[in-house]
Amino acid sequence: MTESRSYQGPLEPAGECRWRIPKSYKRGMRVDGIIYADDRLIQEIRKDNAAEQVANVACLPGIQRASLAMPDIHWGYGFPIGGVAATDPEEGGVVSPGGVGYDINCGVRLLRSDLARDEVEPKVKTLVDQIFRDVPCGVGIGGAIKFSPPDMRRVMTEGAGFIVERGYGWPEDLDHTEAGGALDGADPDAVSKRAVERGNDQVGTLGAGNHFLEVQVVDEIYDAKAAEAFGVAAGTVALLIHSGSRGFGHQICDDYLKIMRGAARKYGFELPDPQLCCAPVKSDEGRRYLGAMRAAANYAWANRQLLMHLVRGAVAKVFGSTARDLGLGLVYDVAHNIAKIETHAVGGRQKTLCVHRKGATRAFPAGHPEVPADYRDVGQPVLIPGDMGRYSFLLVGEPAAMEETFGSVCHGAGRRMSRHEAARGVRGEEVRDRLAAHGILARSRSWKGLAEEHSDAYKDVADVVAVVERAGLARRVCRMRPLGVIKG
Amino acid sequence: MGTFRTFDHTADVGLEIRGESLADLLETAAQAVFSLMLDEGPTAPEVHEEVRVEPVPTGGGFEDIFVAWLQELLFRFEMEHLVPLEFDFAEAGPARVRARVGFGRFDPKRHRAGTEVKAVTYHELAVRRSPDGAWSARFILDV
Repeated sequence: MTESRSYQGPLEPAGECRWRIPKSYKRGMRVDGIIYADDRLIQEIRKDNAAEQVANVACLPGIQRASLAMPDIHWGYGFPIGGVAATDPEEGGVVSPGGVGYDINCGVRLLRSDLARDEVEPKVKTLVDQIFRDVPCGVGIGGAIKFSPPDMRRVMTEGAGFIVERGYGWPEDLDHTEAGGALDGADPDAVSKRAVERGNDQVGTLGAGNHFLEVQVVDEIYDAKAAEAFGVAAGTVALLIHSGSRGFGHQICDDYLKIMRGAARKYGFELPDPQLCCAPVKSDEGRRYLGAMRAAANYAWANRQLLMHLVRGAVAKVFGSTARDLGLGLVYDVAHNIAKIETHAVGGRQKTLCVHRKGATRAFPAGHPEVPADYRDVGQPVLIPGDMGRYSFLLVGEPAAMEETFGSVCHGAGRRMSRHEAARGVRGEEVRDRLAAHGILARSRSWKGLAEEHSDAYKDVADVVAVVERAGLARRVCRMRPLGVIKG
Repeated sequence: MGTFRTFDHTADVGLEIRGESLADLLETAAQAVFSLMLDEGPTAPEVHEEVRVEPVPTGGGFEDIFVAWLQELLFRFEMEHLVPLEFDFAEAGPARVRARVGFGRFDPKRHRAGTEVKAVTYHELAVRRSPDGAWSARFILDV
């Protein structure tokens, strides 16, 4: 039943781990496409239509420098997943809901701890079960807290800060969250009633699909200085949370894709794919989308903040201590589906751009003012989750990312098998048993969901991370191996 | 009753639906989507409600009504755990659909979830009526 369409267009070598799709390839391309990959990954990437989508994105009005794609790129809808595109509003640059995705501000949050592997391993089942009980997850599971309409407005405008104010977290958590856990310029009035209805009882829910929560052990350190700055030590336990803006963000994306389909026609854009529909940043449609998208981004930060609070509580319960005494500090929280207004140097000039990261992670280097003060000499932590059977990485941004990719790198392993292909011939129970044989305890609300997410369905994240390191976009700080996995 | 099959799309799931009429197409599409979402769900309707959909036209013709219909059903599932089981269409056209739908209720304690569907995408979406009067739709779900 596979209907793969491999990419037949040009991919010219363009330096270390870089491949170019020249703008001459396709009518309407305004800039080149650049894909970061090694010789082997580029063969994988050719197998689906993602490279064609890189070329399509290069057609967006006002796009700067190049349409960029990370080594974990795969076929999305409109934009490829693993894509980065920056547009200049002063040159008619657009914002596109497809360049952000349905799960607005889907992202990852890493907690460190003082707990040693030996302390956790004998209790891992108790711990995973406790987290599974305390953290609402799975299809159709609502959150423990419902917000009143005025509170929902504060979730939309204040994000994680509002949750911390309510007592679910520590003030310093916000210093270690991208954008301090809230973007300015969120516009609750640009959000539909339906989005609010959907979002109302989903703050503090993990969701399903590829969202997860992992108990991990830091098993390799590559950069001791950065690891120390980030508070992670070999042999200690860490916790990784992957979730987004839930039905709230999905609804906003749906609402604005409809509006943008009309807008793209109104502004006379010729686009190779209707899912690339967009409007100028400086238009009513563009402003309203950005206002609603920021509300969803803030919602997602509030969601991950509340999830982390529940996780801290569960860990404290199991170890008969407090989250403070166990050192359950937030290392960092970073978005990988977002559009942000940022300043970047293009052609020797500082420009204010609209940077779309669709399955791509911000990776600012040392010295950047948006890097938290206590990390500024080292750079921004970049969280790259792998598949549940192998490992995840903590990286740090490097200067080349600013020069080439608007301060962005990859966001994960990237799928190599479709969900159906992954789930064919393997049952969720078998995946659980296989993981158990590797010392990984898995809990899921859906066996099918677990089967779809097994290791072989993904590229090896180590290969993906090696490319961004060779390309000089980020460097590895440490690796984490899962001990326990919780999936919706 | 129409037919459906899934097709592969790297991170998502594609569906291809065939129906004898637009109403049949919409009913079959709803059943296809919910068969992916639930490994084990309710089988008997508990509540009957009128579902009325009037999409904001985006120029997509039958695509607009098709997407709006599925979005409405997904919304009711998310809000009230309602799973559509029986359909009685009073009207099915490009501008409006009205149907009396018998819903069962998903109970996470008794039933088993499958794949969570985040959205019905417009990516490569096509809803067609062939010369012999049969209908088909091809679309991708973001999961």
